Amino acid sequence: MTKPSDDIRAVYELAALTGEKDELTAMEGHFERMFKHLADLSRVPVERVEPYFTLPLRELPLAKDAPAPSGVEAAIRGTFTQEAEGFLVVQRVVNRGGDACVEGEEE
Amino acid sequence: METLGVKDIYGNIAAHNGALNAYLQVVPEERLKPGAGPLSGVCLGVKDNIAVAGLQLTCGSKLLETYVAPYTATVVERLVAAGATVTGKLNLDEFAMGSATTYSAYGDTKNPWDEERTPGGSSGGSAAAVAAKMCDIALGSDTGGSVRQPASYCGIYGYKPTYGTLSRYGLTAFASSLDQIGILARRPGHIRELMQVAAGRDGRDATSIEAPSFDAQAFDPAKMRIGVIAEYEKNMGPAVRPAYDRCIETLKKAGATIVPLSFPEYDTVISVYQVIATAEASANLARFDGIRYTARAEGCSFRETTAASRGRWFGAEVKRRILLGTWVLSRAYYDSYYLRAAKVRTVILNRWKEFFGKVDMVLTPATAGTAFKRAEQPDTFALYLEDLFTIPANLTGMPAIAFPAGTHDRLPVGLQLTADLSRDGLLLDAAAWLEKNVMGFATIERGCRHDAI
Repeated sequence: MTKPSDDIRAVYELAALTGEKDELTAMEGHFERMFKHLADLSRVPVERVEPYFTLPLRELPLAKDAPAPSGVEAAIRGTFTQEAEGFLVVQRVVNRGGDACVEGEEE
Repeated sequence: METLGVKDIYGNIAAHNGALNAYLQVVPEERLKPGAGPLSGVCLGVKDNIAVAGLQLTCGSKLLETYVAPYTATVVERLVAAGATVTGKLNLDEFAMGSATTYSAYGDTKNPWDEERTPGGSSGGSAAAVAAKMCDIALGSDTGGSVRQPASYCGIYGYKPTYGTLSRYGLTAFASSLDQIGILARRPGHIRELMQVAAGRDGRDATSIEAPSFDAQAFDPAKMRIGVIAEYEKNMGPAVRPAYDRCIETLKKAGATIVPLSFPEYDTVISVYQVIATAEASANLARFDGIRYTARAEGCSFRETTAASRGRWFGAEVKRRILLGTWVLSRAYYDSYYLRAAKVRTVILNRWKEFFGKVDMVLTPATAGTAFKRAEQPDTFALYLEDLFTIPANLTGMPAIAFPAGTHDRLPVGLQLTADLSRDGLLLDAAAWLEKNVMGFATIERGCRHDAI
């Protein structure tokens, strides 16, 4: 079993993910293969080509951005049981025991 | 729309869902509220990444196991207002990432034609439920072929509208520039009836568009120029070839002009899709942080809690895609991967626009072969290649429909028609003509191994 490289560890960190060592090693093999495959993107000439991030506006008549009340806010507010000083109180994770951080502790 | 009736549908659910695992949640029959309107009596299955207030919204993920949607997707809202009744939530690959419905945290869905085989994915639950008559019609989502590939494997119709035609409000985002809600049905006429009600602008989705007309028009094949792509013809498997040739022959006999086309970039579509879809997914799935929604792992800080929650509950395929997306968006890789893929996407869009200067529709296989055995599922990488024929419609935003066109070794074979932007009506007219002249669901049904269906 090879050791996962710093690259894969850094990407896990960036992606806010955790994984066991075996998983990281397996991912490394997958991405090696994946990046080899993605190299075929360089076969297509793209000089002076504009990138396509979303369908060009001229292609289709888009809707006006006019949100209608969905009732979501009321539904969400209904899930909070406590209010303090004008703020909704979020229930914290409690009773984790052992050496875990205590209730309300934040970095 | 001719419907099966609630009694028959719930009888089929009771008889088959245990084996097929198509529904993850069934609305109890006694709680159904019959609606009034053009879709009265229609039993609608909904993929479990589309919100229906009061029902679960797991997206096939352990991370959302106990999450209940607080609101309803616009498409569902419009269908229910027209009289349809939601029968339940249907299985899928986790966050719609997969091609076999084997990446669901709640077990595989089986193909009603042969339970050893995959129904395809990611809308495998929707396809199996429609094929096994456990609902009249189902909603799925299609980011790279997730409606059309399972429809093809299950011998039904799978339609992906022009991007924006159906509102995405209430669809859990995977890759926003590619995602579209799609429809799976046993008859193309059913799709038309749903689209007449559900399509159109929605103030809650700024990318929604004015709906094209879905009124039926007379379809005359003699006035049609049908494009066929040389590179795709080389890549279809022997199981699909006879149905493809037969379909072309039928169209020719009816007077259609068959026009050969060349798509030299065809083999880059998987790479373009992998880069763009994963980049967008890595951003969209950042919202699942262990703080909002449900499952939360222990951690002493926000960052630790987030990473622990995501690391513990996301499945392997979701992690693979988030990681690749994060990677290609990172500073060192952005230009050579993400930006380059976005440019190749423009080249592909221009190529398909050029096609529709020459032809009315393009005929291709929907998949390279028939449904594979779940025990013989290709490796992760080979599974990505499943979407070779379906991805262009997502990259270009164009509408496409997969339709049943034959059987091979007692399994359904699906083909696909793609049309220019907003020519959805033409696709449905063509599918209705093909249903009469090539093959429809009823014909395939007789080969079904599920005796009770």
